Amino acid sequence: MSQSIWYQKAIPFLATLGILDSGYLTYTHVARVEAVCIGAGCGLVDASPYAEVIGIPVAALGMGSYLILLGLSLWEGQIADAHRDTLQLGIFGLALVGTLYSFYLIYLQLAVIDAICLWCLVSAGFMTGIWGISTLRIVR
Amino acid sequence: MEKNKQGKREARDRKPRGQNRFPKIRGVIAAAIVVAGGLIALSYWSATRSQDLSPPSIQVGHTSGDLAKGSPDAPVTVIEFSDFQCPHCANFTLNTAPQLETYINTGKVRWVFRNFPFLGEGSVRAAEAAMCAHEQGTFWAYHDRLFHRAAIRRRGAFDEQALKRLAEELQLDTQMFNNCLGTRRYTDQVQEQFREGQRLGVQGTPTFFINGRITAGDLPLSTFREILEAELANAERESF
Repeated sequence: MSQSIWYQKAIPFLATLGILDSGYLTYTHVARVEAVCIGAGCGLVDASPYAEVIGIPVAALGMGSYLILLGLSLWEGQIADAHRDTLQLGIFGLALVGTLYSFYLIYLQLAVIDAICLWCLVSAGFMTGIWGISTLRIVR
Repeated sequence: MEKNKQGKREARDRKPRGQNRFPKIRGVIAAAIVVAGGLIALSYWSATRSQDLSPPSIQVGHTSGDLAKGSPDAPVTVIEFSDFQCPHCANFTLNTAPQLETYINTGKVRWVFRNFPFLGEGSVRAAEAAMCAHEQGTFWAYHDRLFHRAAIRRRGAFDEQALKRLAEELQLDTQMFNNCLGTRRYTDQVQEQFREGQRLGVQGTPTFFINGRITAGDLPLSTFREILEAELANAERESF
């Protein structure tokens, strides 16, 4: 398997896992049900004022980002080489925003809310993974 | 020959691509940092605004099965929305609340407990069990024991059997207690308290309404005392 094919498959794969993860967290937030979690961390994080940005659940923002990343990464295989660079830069930029914001959310969990939400950490891992792969792709 | 030409063309094409890309990458990184910074600032503003937006004073009505201690004529009423499985509630109940008892014992504060069981089935069961203990006049003792369990986070601490054992330890009439818990006598009341909390804007636990003013979180003792003293001073001014 060539490197380019491996890269092409890894980003939609991680984005799909991210959609499932953040989709579950969006559901638990909207339906006000307790997420299956280690300890009470998910409930505490979900109940904190940081779980929403101007009324939009943070998990829904994450799900939206993963959906866009999935769409862009699938579209990449369909377009001409001339436009692929721009698309790859777009994926890199969006994944970088997601990664920086994920780090901020981890900081909030550790320093402000004082509770750890396992599924939020997993999502941060997926986003960081997408960003790492997109970085490798554009610098090579 | 043709293959060689193609290879040279590709190499020629690749070079300017790489050179052109780095300014673009720097631009994308800068834009991403600005967007992420904006998002973080918006998130912070949104979170602090949601705490500040609470109305200055909310009229908190009575619900069936209010659990209260202290004089009904006390100038300050604290209504606490809490979840028995919540570690912050446990910390507040076990470490801060005992040091506020003096306000209750001297008739300055009336303390009302409301169930806000949002951390799963165990929380709902514990809330119902505490209401069953209330039938036998031991709500506060049962409440304290439940928070001890939340603090040590023992596995299965909120199972039905564990809740029944707790009633035995407190020497309650176990037949009456088990019947109450088994028939889920207080499901509706617990749900009513939960819905009341949602209506009032409770987003997590513990949340306090101190003379109607909402305050959320496991506040330090000094902060809680300052709020109570300010409310007592207000009440004294208003009485003149």
